[in-house]
Order: sequence, then C-alpha cells, then structure tokens
Amino acid sequence: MGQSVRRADGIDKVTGKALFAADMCMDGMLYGKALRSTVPHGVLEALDVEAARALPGVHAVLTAADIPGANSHGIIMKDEPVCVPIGGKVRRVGDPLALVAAETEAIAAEAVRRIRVSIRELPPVFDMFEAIKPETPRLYDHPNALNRHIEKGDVDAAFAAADLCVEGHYRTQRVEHGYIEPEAALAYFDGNIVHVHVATQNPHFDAKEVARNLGIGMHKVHVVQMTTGGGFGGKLDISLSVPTALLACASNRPVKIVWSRTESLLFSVKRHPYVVDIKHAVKADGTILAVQCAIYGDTGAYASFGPGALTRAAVHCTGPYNIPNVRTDAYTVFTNNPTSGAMRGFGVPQMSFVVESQMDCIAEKLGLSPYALRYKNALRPGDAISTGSVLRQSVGIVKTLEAVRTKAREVFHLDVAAPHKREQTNGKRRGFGFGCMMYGCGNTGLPNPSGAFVDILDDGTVRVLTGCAEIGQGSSTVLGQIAAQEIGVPIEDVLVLAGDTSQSPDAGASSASRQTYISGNAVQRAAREAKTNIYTMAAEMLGVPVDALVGENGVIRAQPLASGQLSDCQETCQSSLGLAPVPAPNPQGTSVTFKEAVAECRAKGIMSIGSGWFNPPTTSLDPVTGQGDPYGCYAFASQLAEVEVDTETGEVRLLQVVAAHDVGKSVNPMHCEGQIQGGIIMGMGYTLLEEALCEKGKIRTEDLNTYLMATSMDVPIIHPLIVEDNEKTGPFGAKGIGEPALIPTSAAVVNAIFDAVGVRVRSLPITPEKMLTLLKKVQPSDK
Amino acid sequence: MSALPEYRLFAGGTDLMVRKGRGLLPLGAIINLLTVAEMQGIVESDGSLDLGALATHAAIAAHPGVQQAAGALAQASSQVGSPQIRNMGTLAGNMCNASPAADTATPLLALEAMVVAAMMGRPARERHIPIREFFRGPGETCLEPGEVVVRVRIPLASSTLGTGSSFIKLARRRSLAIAVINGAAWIALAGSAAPCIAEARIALGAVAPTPIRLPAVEDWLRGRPVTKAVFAEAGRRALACINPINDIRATADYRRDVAAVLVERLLTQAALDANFCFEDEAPVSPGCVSPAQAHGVATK
Amino acid sequence: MTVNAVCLHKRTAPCKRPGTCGESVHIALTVNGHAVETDIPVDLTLLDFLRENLGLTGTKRGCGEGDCGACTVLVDGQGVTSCVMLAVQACGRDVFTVEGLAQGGRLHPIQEAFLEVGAVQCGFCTPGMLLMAKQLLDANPNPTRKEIVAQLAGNLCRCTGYTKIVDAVDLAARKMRVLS
Repeated sequence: MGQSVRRADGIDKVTGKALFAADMCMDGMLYGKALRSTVPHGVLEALDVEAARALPGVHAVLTAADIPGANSHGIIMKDEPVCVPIGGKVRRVGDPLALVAAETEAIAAEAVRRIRVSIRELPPVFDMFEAIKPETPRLYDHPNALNRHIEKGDVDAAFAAADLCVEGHYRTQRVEHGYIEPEAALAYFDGNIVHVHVATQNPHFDAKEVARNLGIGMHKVHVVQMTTGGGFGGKLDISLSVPTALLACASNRPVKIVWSRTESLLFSVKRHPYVVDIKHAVKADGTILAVQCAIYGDTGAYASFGPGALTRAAVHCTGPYNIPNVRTDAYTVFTNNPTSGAMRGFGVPQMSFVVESQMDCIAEKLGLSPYALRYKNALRPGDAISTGSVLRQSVGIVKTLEAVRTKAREVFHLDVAAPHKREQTNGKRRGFGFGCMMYGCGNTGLPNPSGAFVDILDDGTVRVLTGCAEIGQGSSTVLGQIAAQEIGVPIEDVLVLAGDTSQSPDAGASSASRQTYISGNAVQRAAREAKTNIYTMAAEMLGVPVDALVGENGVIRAQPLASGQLSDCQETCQSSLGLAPVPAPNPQGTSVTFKEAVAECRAKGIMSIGSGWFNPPTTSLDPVTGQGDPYGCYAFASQLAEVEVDTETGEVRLLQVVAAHDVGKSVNPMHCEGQIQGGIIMGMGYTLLEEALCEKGKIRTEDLNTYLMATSMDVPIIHPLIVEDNEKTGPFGAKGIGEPALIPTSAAVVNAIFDAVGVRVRSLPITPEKMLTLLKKVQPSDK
Repeated sequence: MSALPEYRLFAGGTDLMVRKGRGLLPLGAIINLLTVAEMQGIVESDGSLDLGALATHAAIAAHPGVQQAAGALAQASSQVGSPQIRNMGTLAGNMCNASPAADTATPLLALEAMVVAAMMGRPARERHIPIREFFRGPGETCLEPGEVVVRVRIPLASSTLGTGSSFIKLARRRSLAIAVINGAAWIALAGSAAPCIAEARIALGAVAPTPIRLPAVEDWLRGRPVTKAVFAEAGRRALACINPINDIRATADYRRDVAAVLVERLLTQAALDANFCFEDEAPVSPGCVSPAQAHGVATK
Repeated sequence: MTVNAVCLHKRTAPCKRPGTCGESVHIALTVNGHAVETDIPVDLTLLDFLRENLGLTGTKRGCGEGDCGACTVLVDGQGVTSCVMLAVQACGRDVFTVEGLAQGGRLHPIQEAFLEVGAVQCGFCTPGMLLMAKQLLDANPNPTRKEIVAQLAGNLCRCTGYTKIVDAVDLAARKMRVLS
C-alpha cells in the first residue's frame, strides 16, 4: 500500500507481447461486418439478403429473424436492437440492420453492399427542445424526456431571502472517448461454450448480453477481456461482443470484427451534450442558500447510460458545497441523434463547468476572491449533499483547496486568496482560475457490487481472481497491492488474474471511479478470508494469540504487547473464567515465514481460499424528491489553472495546472499522478479543442484529422498533489481518482480566461473563434 | 506510359494512401518515384538552392543551408504533419497535392521559387515554372499529364544582409494539424540610418482556392518605414486580397479576422529575422490591472 | 539527367490474398535484423505486412491514416507511420519494430525507463512511443525536454497526458549515456 510499484502488465506492454483483441487470430477465422442505416429515423420495411448470401466466401448473413434470443441490449434499458427487425424502428444513423461473416473483410464489405434495404423515413427530431414539446411524437412508448427531480429544503423561501441571485445559461458539446484502440472482438463456439475475446470495460455485462441474445444460460458464455487500449466509458455498451458471438454460432467458425477509426467515431456513444439553466441564491456574506437548475442532456436514440448520467448530474448540481436548499430537474432527452452514453465523469464534467463558473460569477459580484467563496461554502463532515445524505468523514475538499493555495505560492508566487496583478505582453493576457469538484464513487443510488476470489497456493504465492477490467487505469496492479498488504506478502508473490468471466465473479464495470473502492474492498475481504487459516496456524506455531500477529512482506511476527495491555484472549479468560492475569508470553523477536505457515497448513490438510464481495452502503433515491444516500464515498479535488489568451487570435493556451486530489489513501502514488496528468489533458481537450460535430443526425468528425485530441506539444506543466483524507469504508482508506482527474479542469480554464480578459465563456469548447468573437464584443475597438 | 491504366505518381505516399484507404483512389497503377536518384538530395550552389523533388520535409527542415538561406521554408517543413509524416513526405508531394493550406507553399511563394518539371520519358526537356503559376486550384497544379516535378530551385540573393523571412502557421493544435491559416513573408530592408522596406513579399494560405501572394499590399509597403504601425496597416490592406471560405476548421469570418494579424506578425518577424530592432514599441505597463479586478475583487 | 520511374504494376504471380488489387510483387528486406523475402500484394501496407503476414502484432492500428502514430515503426532508423506506407516501399530496407527492442530476454533501457516512471497505462500507444524515442536517442544522446516533446508530437496518447512518457525518454537518455 502506498508504494509506487511497477504495473503488473507493464512488461508485456512495453515488449509488444500484450494481446489486444485485434491481435488475435484463429484458424478458419471469418471477418464480420454490419449493414447500418444511413437514415436517422424510419421504419424498416424490407431487407433482401439473398445476393449477399450467394456471394462466394460469405458464411453467414443474419437479420433480426435469425437472432435466437432477445435481440436487445442496453446498460440501463434494453432498448437497443442487435438488428432492427422488419417493421421495427430505425432510430439513428448507424442502426445495425444485418450482420455478415465472410472469408475476408473485403468480401464481407461487398456482401453488405449487396443487401437491399427499404426504410420508410419518418421525420427526425434532432433538437432536444423540439423533442420535449408535447406535440412532438414520442420516439418510444415512454415520453421523450425522462426526469430526475431533486428537492431539498425550501428553495423558494431561500430565493426570497437572498441578497443576490445569480443566473446562468450554459451549453456543452458532444465529445468522443478517443481511446487509441478502436473496438475489436473475436468470438467462437467450441460446441459447448461460446467464447468471446473483446475489448471491454465490463466483461460480465458482455457475458450477460451475449447469453440473452443467444438464448442460452450465462454459464455457457465465456468472455475474456483482452488487454484493452483505454475505455473512458466508451467500451461499456455492447458494440461487438454480441454480433461476433451470433455470427460465430451461425457460421460455426471464429468471427472477428475490428472497427475502423471512422466506425468508432461514427457509431460508439458520445458524452451527452448539455444545456443547463441554473441560478443561485446567495447572502451578502457569501453564504450560498440555494441552487435551482434545469439540466437537459441529449441521449440520442437510445438510453445507454443516459438516465444514470443525468441522475448523477442532478445529484452533483451543488458542486462540493454545502447548500441547504436544492431544486433540480435533470432531463434525459431522446432524439434521433447518435447515442450518448457514459464518458469519464458521467455528467459531472459538464456540471463542474456550470457550477464553478457560477461560483466565480458570485465571487465577482460580492467582491470575494474565488478561493474565499469556495472555502466558505465547501462541504465539511456533518454537511449534507443535495439528496440529504450526510457526509460523515473523508471530506477532503477543504484540504485540497489549502493544498492548492500552498502550492500556488511556491509555483506562481501568488496567494490565491488575495487579489493579484497579471502580466500583459503583446496582446497576450494571463490569468488564473479555480475549478473544484466532488464525485460520488460507484453507481448512483443503485446496487453495484464487486466480488473476488483469492487463492493462497501451496508455495505461499497468491492468486487474486477478479472480474475487474484493467483498461490502463492500473486496477490489476492496485488490487494486487491491496491483496499483498492484507495478506502480508511481497507484491511479487501476488498475481492478479482479471477480466475473465470463467475465472472470477462479477466485479461490475470499470467505471464510476468505483474499482479501487469496490473491487478493492472485495479483494481485501477475500484476502482476509483466505489468510485466516494461515494466520491461525502461525499463531499456533508461535504460541501467541492470533491478534498479536503482524504480517508484512512474507514474514509473520508476533508483536510484543504494550506493558499492562492484555490480549483479547487473555481478557476473555479473565472476565469469563475469572482467572488471574498471567504474564504475557515473551514473543519478542519470534516470527515465522508466511511460506512456513502455509506449509504447516497443507501438512494438516488445511486450505486457504477466500471469497469476498462488497456493495457500497447506499439507498436508492426517492422517485419524487431524489433524497437518499447515493454513494458510499466521495472524491474531492481542487485545480488551479494558468492560461494565456492571445487577444488578437483568440487562441487560449493552458500553461500550468496545480491539481490537488483527495483520494482517501493513495494505493500507488505514481499511478495516481498518472491519472491526474492524463485526466487534465483530457479535460483540457474537452475545454479547448474537442467536439464531435453532429449535423442532421450524422457525426461529421469522422477521422482523427477532424476530431482533434491533444498532442504532446499541447501539454501544460502539471503539479499533481495527492491529498489523503482517509475513507473509513474504503480498502485501507482508499477511494477513487479515475474520473475526478478530468472533472474540474474545464472550470479552472474558463475561470482563468475570465481572470485574464474579463470575458465569461458559457459554452464549450472554447475555440479560438469563439474566444475572438467574445473578445470583440467586449472591446470592439482596436488597440 | 500511354498503355497504362489510370495511374498516380507516388512519392512518400502519405496523402495518396489516405485517399486509397477511403476508396477514393482506384489503384490501377502507381508509379513509384522513390528510387529516382536525381530527385533526391539538396544541392547548394552560388545563386541557388536546389531541393530535389523527393527531399523529405525532415531533410529540408534539418538542412543547414536551407535554415540559413530559406529560413521560412525550413520552419514550414518542420511543422508539416508530424515527425513520422516528415520522415516520409516529400516537398513535391506536398506541392502537387496542392492543398490551399499546404505548409510549404507559402514560403516557396515568398521566396519566389522556380519549379523544374519534366515529362516522363523526355527528361532532357525541363520546364521552368515560376511558383506563382504552379497552383491552379484546390488539388490542381499546372502540370501536364505525364509531367513530374524534378526539383525546386530557390534563388539566393547575392547577399542576405538586410533580408529576413518568416513563417507562421495557425492551427487548432500544435502538431498533426492542417493550418487554419498560414503564411510566409520575405523582406529586404534598405538604408542604415532610417531603414525602409526595399521589397516585401507576403504569401497567405487557406484564404483562397490556392496559396497566394499579396501584390497590392507588397506594392504599398515598398519604400515605407519599418514600423509596427506600417505592418498593422499592411495587415488591414490584406483583407481586400483574400477570399476565405467556411470549412470544418474555421469560418471565413475568423480567417479574415486573423489574416490581418498574421500579416502584421509575419512582417514583424521577418524584420526581426533581418536583424532589425524596433524602437517604436509601446512600453508594457507593469502592474496593469485586469478587467476582473477592476470590478472590485478586493477582499481576502 | 534521366527520370527513371519504376512501375509497380507488374504482372507476376497471382496474388495470394484474394480481395485486393490482384497484383503481386516480390520483396526482400530485414525485419528486426532478420532477412525476410516473400511475395505480397502490391497494395499491402507495411502495417498489415508486419501484423498479418509476419504475425508481429506489437505494432498497432489506431486510425489507419497516419494521424495517431500507434503504427509507428523504424525504417532505416527513421520513424514512419506504417499504415500509410506500402510494404513494397520497405523493400531493401531495415524495418525495426517494438519486438526488436528487448535483446536476449533483457529489456532495452527505453523500455526499462517507461516501466520505472509509470509511462505505460493502457499500452496501445506504447510501441509507437518507444520507437520514436529510439530514433531520437540513437541520433541525439542528450536531448532537451523540448526536443523529446517535439519527437513524440506524432504519437497520440489518451491515457497518460504525455508527461510521464517525456519523463521516461529523459530517463532513458540518462540510462543510455551511462551504458555507452
């Protein structure tokens, strides 16, 4: 614990040996392709696949009629078809209509071209506000907008009593996950079990959906999560695991599908674009009394993670601040746009941009420094969040603010609590800005357990079997560290086997920054159970009570007790049997190796295996008021950005970021820093560079030439600060970092821009063009 | 050659292969030019710098002779694509692809390069094409079917004293980016006591169907003093010479806004490259207050 | 002066990979120091040649258009995006992939450095990064941080934010200077 050990899968990755899904090849392998709709809304009237089936080299052509099971999938609602059935609705550009498996990719592509399609087009809805009008036809049986409402306290009274009311209207854009590895899967049927090798963040979910669509039991599906080249929420939905499995069973051959970058950009889910109307009620002394907001997220054709993201956005509408009165409506809006789903931060990057912008507006109007306003209102133990859930411990937001303040003195010679002067050179203006955040780890108000097995082998080495998908974030290393710490063995003696549904129980998805916390707990519990017999044996071998033992790095020592202190065993003897206290036995210097204790166990036929699972202690949110306990723990962060604005071209450069993140307890500081650095760059891209342009239901940014992500030359200097405010319910005090790393960056940048040039930007991304237009409005005259 | 089906000339391949991957290039035949020795290499001689058509961007950017005598081209070559693209992509390939935003085009225009072409099969008959006639439209050059660029000749002044060049590329990110707008300038100053502009050449890219020179602005600059105010006015005058469009990278309006800024900065940097020292700089006041502060952010 | 254009449109043996343009060409090159000689379709990319024909899957396809650098290999010591290069362009040349870095079971100092500073997360961009670093350090044993950043500017990474990768190349340079 707390050591920057090297990652478990590092050597395979630096030697090129690590196998990603697209690297797999099998004898007799076929290539799969899908026929997809080119229209955004309609009814599928006819499909003629005869010409495709007749093409030499084609082994299977599947339509909805050929799917043995449910023909549906979805993370929250099973609303997405594997193939749109005849008479069924086409809801977006890219809806799959048929699947083909053939000897080569070229033949598969030709077969797809030969399928004749007839779709009766329906009027598409592309605008969220069009979609929610009562007269707009429903795209589904349910309304076009699903609402999450949160009501706490008395918002109307708070606004009546306020000295100041600050309103704002904000918009954010669609963005792309942009993992460097495009989606890929290979499936085959061995006559008994369906095997799927896939790039995924949630192998057990894949297995469940494969089973449902094949109409077989889950026990007959084996999903192996291959080394996965990033996910960020984009490899949670079903993309290729079900199609490859269906084609493999239909053709009786292994079938591989690898998406091109264009297919990935066009058909994978995107971050929900948001429109947010928000207002705050504030007292003259800076106390925030209330927040009221309406959040609209365009979830596109299918629900995907939409309701989850919008619920989370609603819960996080206060930001990391103690606001007693809250009224929020978060609308998941269905349209005929491409689907929006989970993406790192899950609605909170959008909300952080909104809330933190508001905070600086409030500060400016009251004449407070942005730091002081945040410090005053920051959540502290005993405060409640928007759902009324009281935070009892591990509330590190204040610590992160203080950490940033201290570091800013060192790096910028600046006291962020005081007014400061900025440089102006040649039309380039610099400024500083804050962005803060809180983030509940785990699925919002829903059960999301993780399970794990631990097996201590005959030679004292350890296998951890976890369903937790390692997608680059370092979970396999971190879970190994937790197990090693719990069991008391060196990290080299621990092997983590992950992401194989035939080896380990469900660990849920690698999302929601939940794995260190939830799988970490599961692994710790399994490790604790597995080691029990070993430590009991060691206690016998040493002649001491078992709670006097401490195991570390493969050695189990009997700790001498402080004088006068009785061991549990002795206390029991004394109190229950009325025996006189006996002097503690002398255990000083006595130890036994872990391996010896294991050997002793085995000699007596005693095994050492453990299982464990953990579900965060949450309650569901009340359907009317949204009140409840949605998360088991919360991460907090503060970031301070320094930007430079070229007032003549509108270009904004992010120069430096000081980022303090409360992670509870850092399991692996080096990895933690890596997450912070990576998150900030993704956050910078979200703020300044990235947009998945969508027009008339079609993604226009079809390649990496037009969908731009940050390069090495765009990177600011980052000062990552790990803050530890111990989380009692976390493994050794740990919480999460994966999404928090990204969340507050856009806020820090947009506030720094205001500091630099006095312009409040209320939509993302902040392109040079947008910046220049806003600058010209403020100062229309030339120099 | 006439017996061949539709063919493409293939050098580094970095543009052609992308089109091939998208199905936009029926690969009937490709003619590999990479083994043609005469088209490689960079040769310096009195009065000119000869860049082989197949000289890669990396080779051009790193060549001391180019850096010294054609600095704007060296800078431009160092910003094409990425290091990998620069290792593969060639000068002629970039030119013949004829994107209005081609990075190497504006320095070649500002340096008044001469394109030397020859017909395949008739190599002895070279055609010398002034660079200003080379680009005809987006993706179109003045080359005849069967004609190949063999080398690009950059004329060198007898003395580089008092001359300077510059190149600026504005793009959404700092690598792997197609320019939103780019440009190059070359300037020759005359006179020692009060230097004035003897000659200025300005080229802009991504503001017209081809990369262009700005003759009206260049004429206006001739004889004027070397001041920031003159350069700012030159920038304003540039607007009448350009005709940008909206595309996925930027709008026409934005290109117009920054074209003026770009021209001013190009001329300033070219003057600095000519070792000119500006005296009429407005001093930057220390301790200036931001608009945000002006609104009263005072208390701790 | 003669212009000797070489036409690739040869009519030789039938192509062994159906579905391509149907023409085949003979190439001979070295890959990671080993001589390789074979017939391939003329329009086969260097990337597909390495991954499919030679089974060297360490080099990755991230975009297929030269825009991400995941397919980077060294050809005669120079980093190239192999997805936009024809295999036939590598004829007679030395190709070096990530599989060539570790020698005799020992990691190359660049690989060691990446592991030491935590510059690997998902690992998909890693092979390309390692090879661009190798090109740089073989030519310039003492690069500045700015030079390292510029050398990696054609390789996208979505996980690390680049900082630790630059740290790793800097560390590798020090390791290699000690060894030499």
